[in-house]
Amino acid sequence: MSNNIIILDDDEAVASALAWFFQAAGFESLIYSDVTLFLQEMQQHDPLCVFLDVRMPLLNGFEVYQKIREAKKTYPVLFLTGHASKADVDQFGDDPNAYFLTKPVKNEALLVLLQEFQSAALDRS
Amino acid sequence: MEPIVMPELESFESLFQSAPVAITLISADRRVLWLNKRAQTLIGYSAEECIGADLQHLHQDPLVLDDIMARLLAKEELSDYPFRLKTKSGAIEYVYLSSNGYFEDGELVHTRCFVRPVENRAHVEYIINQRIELRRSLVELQQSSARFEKLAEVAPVVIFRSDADGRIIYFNQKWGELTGIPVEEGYGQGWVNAIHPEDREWLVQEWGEAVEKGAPYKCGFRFLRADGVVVWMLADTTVEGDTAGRVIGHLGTLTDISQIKEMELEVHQHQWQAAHMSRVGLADEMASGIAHEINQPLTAIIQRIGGCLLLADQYKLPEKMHDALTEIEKKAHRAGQVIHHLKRFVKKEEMVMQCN
Repeated sequence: MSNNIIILDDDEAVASALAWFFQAAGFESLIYSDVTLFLQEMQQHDPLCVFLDVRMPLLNGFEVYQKIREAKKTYPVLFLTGHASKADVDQFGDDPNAYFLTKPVKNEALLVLLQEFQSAALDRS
Repeated sequence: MEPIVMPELESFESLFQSAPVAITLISADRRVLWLNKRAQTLIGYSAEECIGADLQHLHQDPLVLDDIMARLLAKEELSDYPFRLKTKSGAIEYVYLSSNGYFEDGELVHTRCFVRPVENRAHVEYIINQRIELRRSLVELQQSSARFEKLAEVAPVVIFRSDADGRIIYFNQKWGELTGIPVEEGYGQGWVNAIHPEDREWLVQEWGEAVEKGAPYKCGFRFLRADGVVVWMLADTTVEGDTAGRVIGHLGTLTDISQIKEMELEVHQHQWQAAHMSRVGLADEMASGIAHEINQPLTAIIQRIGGCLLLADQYKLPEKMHDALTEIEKKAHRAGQVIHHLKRFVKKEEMVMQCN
């Protein structure tokens, strides 16, 4: 488990702002604006977590999530969405490593989550 | 002046017995009570054979006998009313009848009949046949009228009849079932009490106008029953005229259209809902688009500021700088909340804010 965070977002401004914040908080991040490229290279990475924009061309965030879990990757996946309906949240109710973050996300909340992921990763190793 | 001495009763009987005209007394139930000698000669039966006998044995045309009895019961005086007698020998005698009824307390006790032969058979035969036809038509009319009344009573709609002035003179039983008001109480202007107070004034006015014009009338209105139930009705009337074309009344039906009204209301509700959904759908789409366009730069701003705040701490920048960045971050979140509320306002679906 690395200290890397993967950001999947086709909006460059959002992706780079997240990367800027993670870097200031001491995390390395990798940005994918092309979902298919990420899926091709998915096996090469073992990130701390993945941030997924729900609204993306070709495959939306939920479909990418399915591909990640089908590949037996259990790392936390954080959906970034304008709004999360109860139905959206309920369909991932069984997965403790699926999170919904409503844009704009509070920085304190992000830091708390990242620290939790870090300590969980440390416990496992 | 010599006083008038009335003859004994027996002398009267003797007078009638020997009168040159046939005289009979007939009971209300059409039995022979008494007949004089001339009558016995005419029919060929003796008094013993005849008294107590049913009059129909002596009448060739039962419908004519019905007609005679109906007229006498109606206190009509018959004068030279022709009919055909059936004699003991089987011969048919054409005779004129003059008769009236003797009533006690309004009840027919007996009729006094004076019968004399007819001179011109051909003439009376025509009259008799006309009377038979008329009577037959009347019987048929009564039967048909009885059939209509029976039909009206079992009809699934209210059937009513008014006089020429619009006063109700007939309702079938359905009226009572639908309004809860007895039929008799609905007669005249009583029906107005069954009408919903909000429909009373205009309905009475419009009905009055239709009656005045002698025109048919059609409208929808409501009954308000004593138990508070509102029943939607459709009234449809037609003008009843006599052979001379004069208006003698109005015939009408009242049909319960509550179910149709309910369905209409349901359709309207669905239409409204569909239109509403379409408006909401459009508004939701617009709100989603606007929210996305604003949320993206807000997210970029907030995460950038988050990084700046961390770096400000790391590089120990002045507190004023830290406070200013925190203030910008708060304002950006405030804008984010406005967007979220806007979306929630147009979207019925339950929304959740997580991890914030």
